[in-house]
Amino acid sequence: MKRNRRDFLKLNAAFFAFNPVSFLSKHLCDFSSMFCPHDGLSHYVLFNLAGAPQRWSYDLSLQPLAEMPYSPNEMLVTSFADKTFQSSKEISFENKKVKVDKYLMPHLWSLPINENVLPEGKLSSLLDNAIIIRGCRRGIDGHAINNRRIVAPDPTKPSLTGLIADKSDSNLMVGMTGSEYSPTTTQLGAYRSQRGNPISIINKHAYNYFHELFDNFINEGSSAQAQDEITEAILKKQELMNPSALKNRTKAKKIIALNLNKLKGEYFQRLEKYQKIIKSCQMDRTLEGLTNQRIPGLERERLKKGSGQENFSYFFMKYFFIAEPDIRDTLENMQLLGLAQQFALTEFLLIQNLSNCISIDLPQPENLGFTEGYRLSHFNTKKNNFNKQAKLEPIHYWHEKKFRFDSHNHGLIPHHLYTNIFYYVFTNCLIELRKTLESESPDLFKRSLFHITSEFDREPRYDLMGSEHGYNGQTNTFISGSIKKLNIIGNIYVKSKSSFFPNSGTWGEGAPIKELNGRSLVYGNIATSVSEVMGVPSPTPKDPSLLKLKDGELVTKITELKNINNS
Amino acid sequence: MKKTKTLVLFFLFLNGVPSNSKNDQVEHFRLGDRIYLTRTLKGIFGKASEPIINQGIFNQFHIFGAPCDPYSQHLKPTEKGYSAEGGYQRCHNKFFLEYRTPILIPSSPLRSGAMIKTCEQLVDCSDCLEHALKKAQVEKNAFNISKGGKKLYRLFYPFRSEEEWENLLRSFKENQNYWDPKKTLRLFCISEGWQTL
Repeated sequence: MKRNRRDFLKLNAAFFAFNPVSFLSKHLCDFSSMFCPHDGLSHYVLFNLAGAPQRWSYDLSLQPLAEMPYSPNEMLVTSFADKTFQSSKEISFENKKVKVDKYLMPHLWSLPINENVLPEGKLSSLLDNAIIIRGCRRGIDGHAINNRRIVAPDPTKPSLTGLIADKSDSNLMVGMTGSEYSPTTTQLGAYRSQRGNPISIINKHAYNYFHELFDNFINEGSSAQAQDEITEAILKKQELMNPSALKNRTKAKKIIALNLNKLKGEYFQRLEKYQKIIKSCQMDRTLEGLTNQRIPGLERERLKKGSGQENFSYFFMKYFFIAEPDIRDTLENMQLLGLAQQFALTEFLLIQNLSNCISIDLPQPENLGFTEGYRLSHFNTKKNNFNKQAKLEPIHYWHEKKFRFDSHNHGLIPHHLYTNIFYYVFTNCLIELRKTLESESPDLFKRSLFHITSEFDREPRYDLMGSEHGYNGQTNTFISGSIKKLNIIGNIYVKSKSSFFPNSGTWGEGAPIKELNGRSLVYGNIATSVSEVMGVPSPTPKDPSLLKLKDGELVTKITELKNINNS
Repeated sequence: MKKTKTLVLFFLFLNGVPSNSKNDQVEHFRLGDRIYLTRTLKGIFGKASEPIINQGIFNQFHIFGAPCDPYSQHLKPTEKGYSAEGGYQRCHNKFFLEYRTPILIPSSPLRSGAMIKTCEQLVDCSDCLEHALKKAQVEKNAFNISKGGKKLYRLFYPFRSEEEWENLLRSFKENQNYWDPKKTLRLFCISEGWQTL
């Protein structure tokens, strides 16, 4: 018995002998940040492209190095052809690329920055601060589940956004809806904090996002806004408040003391700025390969001569075929519901240090100015021609005039035009946000991580009538001042293995990576990467991180970037 | 042997020290949900307070907690048609988010902000203030912190001991002339002690 007891004590001594290291690192960290492993970046903004739009003309480079194998598909285009289209029959596309650093990126990045953002420069300047990870396999299909898994890869644990919000001493966790989906079916609904920090979800239809968020802190006309010292003293002294409530009260009072009523003006200035940028971007008719030439809709003459050889599917828009004399005119009153408010509020919250975690469901183009078109019911898909009843009909009563990011039934023209105009607007707003953060608060952009992602990528259809869910591929783009140059990692297959169609080309399906012991990327790797960079525990600790902070610089842990030939 | 024992005890002691890591902080007390708060405050401030409390507390399910119950909703025929009935439990707005809200949500700056604003609005509403004073049987014009303060204290803290009130009173007496019914009510309303379950 005695011997057993002695053994037990010895075992204990041996076990605990290793513990001072962890103990000291844990507790010395509270004395000085010098002893902490690293605190990570401080601000996280998630831009969620809910609906999963195509990314191949934006941040998904399918052939980042010229020598890489690549299998083309007619839908995998990045630009309208560089010529004048006299008639709709002449419309054609190109797969133009632009060299950024050592990588070939889609043509969009060569477009100029809007003059309201910067007097000169190209969109590609944003990529100087970007890391792109492609080919992340989601494993299962479905918008809701994959969108929720963006922040909650393990639904039994607190969400990534919850963990980041918990880390902070700042005040608010803010989510903004914008997509066509209910917030319960996107990452907003998957938010869960360990410490119980609530999320303020701002509805995309809210007239004023500022008021919606800060309503609890603005009490116009109240004589007691500035709580007096005597009341405060009693609240502290007599334990009418518990300690954490007192802390939160102090934070709330700090927000009240900001005098938000006065800051409202600042918010509206920011809002006006973004509204101007967005309007100017969507009205720009000089964007090469996008809006610098007339894009004629389907003409009546072509219907009569219709034969199986014509590309009517180019003009397909879910329930009708576009017949506008110039399709660019539909952009005039295009609405990106809430986008300006989303950026204005994000900028305001970051600059005022009111939130360290903001997640945004981005809006899709709505209120497109379609006037007339041809009904789908008058089109014979098998013969690829229109029947005799086909005639030009007004569109207003047929269906909503919006372009869905989940573009199953959108032909090549709307697919290309509306996603790219959205990306153009969005990138300009991002560049404006970067500019403001850099100029108004030193180091803030360096301490921030912007994460652009969606449920999954898209697989192009062979018949040019849209794209399907490419749930075995997903692109994650990270933007931060801590990133010093563009880096792209991740392997994809040249020919899709598990596709809807036999010949969908190289669209971004994730392929095995040698540096990960032959495993393909999964979202757990992305979640751990974000956790590591933000200095919070990972919800998926078994999947290794792909990113690290090295001497304050955000770099990738792996370098593999291949198109794997599987034919 | 003695040395080993000392060493073991020392390390056992070290590991017993709680960590201050921010991510480990989870609150162990429970705060009342929006239904509890709404009912309590409406009881104190009367019918006139309903719009303020509904706006400031009851509709803010994401801050105060308590999901709604879609099954407790029913339609009641009225002269103008049907109206949704079902009391506090029924789903009022933002249906999906409201029924998925957690049962209990701990303290947060949002909650503090909402309480400060709502309590200020309540004491600024003359009918609400009057109702509370009437309920506590406090004379507005002859307010005395020792007697009147205690009655107002009992509105929010009916079960606290006499000793606790005496302690509180000592602090009140440091600035005796400062306190009027409005300021006293506001203080008790904002305090979180009565919200703790």
